[in-house]
Amino acid sequence: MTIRLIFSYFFMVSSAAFAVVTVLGLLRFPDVYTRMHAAAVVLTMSAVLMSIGTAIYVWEFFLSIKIMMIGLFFLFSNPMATHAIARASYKRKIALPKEYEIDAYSEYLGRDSDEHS
Amino acid sequence: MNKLVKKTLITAVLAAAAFALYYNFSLLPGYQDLEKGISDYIITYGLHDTGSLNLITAVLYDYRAFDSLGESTVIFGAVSGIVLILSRKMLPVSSKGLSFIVKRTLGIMTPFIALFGFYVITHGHLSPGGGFQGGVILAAISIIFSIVYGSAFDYRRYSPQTKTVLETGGALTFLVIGLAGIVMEGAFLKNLGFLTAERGTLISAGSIPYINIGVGFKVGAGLAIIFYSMIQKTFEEDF
Amino acid sequence: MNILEIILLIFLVFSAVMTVRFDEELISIIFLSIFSLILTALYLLHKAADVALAEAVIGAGLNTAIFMSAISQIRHSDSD
Repeated sequence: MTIRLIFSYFFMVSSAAFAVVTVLGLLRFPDVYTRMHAAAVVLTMSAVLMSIGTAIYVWEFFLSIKIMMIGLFFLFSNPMATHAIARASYKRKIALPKEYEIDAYSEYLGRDSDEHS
Repeated sequence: MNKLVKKTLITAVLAAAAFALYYNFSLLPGYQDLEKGISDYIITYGLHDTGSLNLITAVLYDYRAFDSLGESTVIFGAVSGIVLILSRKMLPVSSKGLSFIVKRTLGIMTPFIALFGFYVITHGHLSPGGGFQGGVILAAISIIFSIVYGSAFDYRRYSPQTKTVLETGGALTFLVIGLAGIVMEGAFLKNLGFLTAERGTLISAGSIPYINIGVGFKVGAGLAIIFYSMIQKTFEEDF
Repeated sequence: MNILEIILLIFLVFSAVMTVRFDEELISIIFLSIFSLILTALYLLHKAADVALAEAVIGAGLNTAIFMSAISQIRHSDSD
């Protein structure tokens, strides 16, 4: 029983560490897209780890299944929402630099490369 | 002269209505344990009276069901006003929607959101939730359709006519259960005792689950109509 | 009244003040949805699960969408 609690606390503490890293990234990164990257990758990991830790903590079959479903929902929805926000801000030309080293997404979208410069 | 006659007529009708309401309320029966406070009464006897495990739903759809009917009427009035003012044309002006990734992911997730909405509606007397909350979750599906897939998709799947039928159907369910309360039990919206089963099962608590279903469809369709009539000219560009 | 509740109350007041103080509507709407989210957590702390569910669904979900569409409609009519 105590080993189960130790496992759940380990997951929860690592999840909190990931959340702290997310906040650091949101505060320290320079523009929209790198902040999006921090929010997408690390926050999804944090939420999934937290749901796993809570599911181990309660340790009851149906309740754990429901909490794992919430974690699965995060695993789907958070990267999708971040992708939608990043794509919208790219199309709206929010905080784009003047010139690029590489800009593959504009060719994918079929936009002229000299339109926004 | 004509105005004076109209004013006196209106005053007389209003006074008669006020007197009728006052007379009606003065005839209301009192509970026997009312002096200890209404919350103590409901906490003690709520499960025995209604058979609903969730006491908040018991208060909303049994003790204060008439209030809930009034709230539904308020939502109906809001929907009517917004549609009357804002809907300039019934044909949709649509966008292409969001990107392919968002469309596929929400295509996977939307059935589960609908399942969760129906769960919250039908288990309103067992667990937290009820008709209102589940109805708003169902309205969120329509919002997802019209933002992500474009409002033309929403128009094709759930046209405003369908939503109107659903909304009036929900209100009619509520009213029919209320009238059945008059016929079977002797008071408007009284809990139908013969529908009560064993406590804790899905079909128990008298008429509360059916009122929940009616309110859920009514609220969901009404809020979806509000959002659809507000969105028509807005999201034309695609992101 | 434990420490978590005090922290949540402080953030609640902060987000409410921020909702009123900003001039741009979009930031106000986002702070309003943050306000409803904190209020949901507070309702859950007081074990009012029904109200918490209603607040989460209506305040954080539906209100944001409806306000967003209203704001974009106002901006369209301004730019036209």
